[in-house]
Amino acid sequence: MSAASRKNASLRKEPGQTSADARREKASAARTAEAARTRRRQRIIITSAVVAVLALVGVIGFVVQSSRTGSTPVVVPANATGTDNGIVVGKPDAPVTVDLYEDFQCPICGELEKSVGSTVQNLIDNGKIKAVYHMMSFLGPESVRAANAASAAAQEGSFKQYHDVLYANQPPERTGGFQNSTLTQLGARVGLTSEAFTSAVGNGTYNGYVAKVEDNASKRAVTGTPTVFVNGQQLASSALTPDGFTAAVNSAAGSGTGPAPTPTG
Amino acid sequence: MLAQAGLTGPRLARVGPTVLRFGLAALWLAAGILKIGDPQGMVHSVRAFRILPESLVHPVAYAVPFVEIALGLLLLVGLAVRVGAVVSALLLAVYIAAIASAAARGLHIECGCFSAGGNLTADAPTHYAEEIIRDSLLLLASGLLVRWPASAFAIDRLLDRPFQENP
Repeated sequence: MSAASRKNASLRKEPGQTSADARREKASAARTAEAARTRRRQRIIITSAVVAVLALVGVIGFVVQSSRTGSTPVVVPANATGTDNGIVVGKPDAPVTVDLYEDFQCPICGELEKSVGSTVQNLIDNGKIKAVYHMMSFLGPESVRAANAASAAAQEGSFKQYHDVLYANQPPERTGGFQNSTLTQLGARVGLTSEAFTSAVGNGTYNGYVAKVEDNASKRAVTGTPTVFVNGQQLASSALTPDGFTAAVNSAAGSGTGPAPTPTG
Repeated sequence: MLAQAGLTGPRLARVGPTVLRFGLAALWLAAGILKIGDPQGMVHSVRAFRILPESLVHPVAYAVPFVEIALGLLLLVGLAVRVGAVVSALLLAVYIAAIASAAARGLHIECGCFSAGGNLTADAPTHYAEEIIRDSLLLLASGLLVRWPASAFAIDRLLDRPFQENP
């Protein structure tokens, strides 16, 4: 309705014309109502479409990410025969099993290795414990590179020596340390000079295995490092001292339970 | 004079919602983009909360960054702002509940809000209080946008225009 016609309507407003006015008003109200209905319909369509698109995007995300993560092949290195594919160091029939969850880039793991590392090594050498190393990799790509290189060292039978040399040369967290070149140089210090080792470091041969170890740890509710289990019992962080660790091992050995049953994820 | 006042009023009223809308859009885009590159990390992050059953951990971890980015784009272009704000508020409410529950159960984890979290080195501090306060403020912003979704530079305004101009 134009402004002109509205003016006309008001000019012609006489007693006899009220019904025509009312009709006009009614028609206008109907138009407004119709417009409101159309708008509501449009809103419902847009709302449902937007919700549907968000749901669809979620499904697409699931498909895309599933295809991305499933692609790394899992190559399990030699000696990864412990619980949850951990790398075993020590006599297989040792009375006590110690599971260690560490990240090569985790500074507190570095401190643990400095304080308790030699105690662990002694207990391994004396045949008292079998250590199972779960090398986690959540502190950036350098974590993954280091864990891959350590797996390559396990394949060559030098996991523990390499593990120790990495901790002795731990770069600060999140500084992009542990480049592949550094990792092969550190390998040479413990006699890891084979072509197999060097190429496994360079190619990320064990990246799939490293991701699997991380996944297994997450399923076992290990959400931080260092985490240590002695015969399946988690040690409190206050017990992560040479004395505390030795006491836990002795008490586990004394209780005569032998190696704990395999914990289920 | 009158016409000018009529224009200035709504325009001024749109400044707040516009700021909130772009702010939330930037937040969701950042949150999604930072997480999308590390699906495995997201899985560990979601699992670390120990809330969802294992069968749902992967679907949720994989879908969330995509939904966050889609939500960010919706808010950015201003399409169905009210719907976007409602979804935004719902997501934030779920995040707050998850963080609060992790804190209550004494879990020692990283929320993974802007990256893949889940793991923390043993002595690293958690930031539950800060995370809950931040998410609550964002929830408040989403709530305001649900109530007043009309904002500038939005596709919604183009869609509404034909009806406003017809008497």
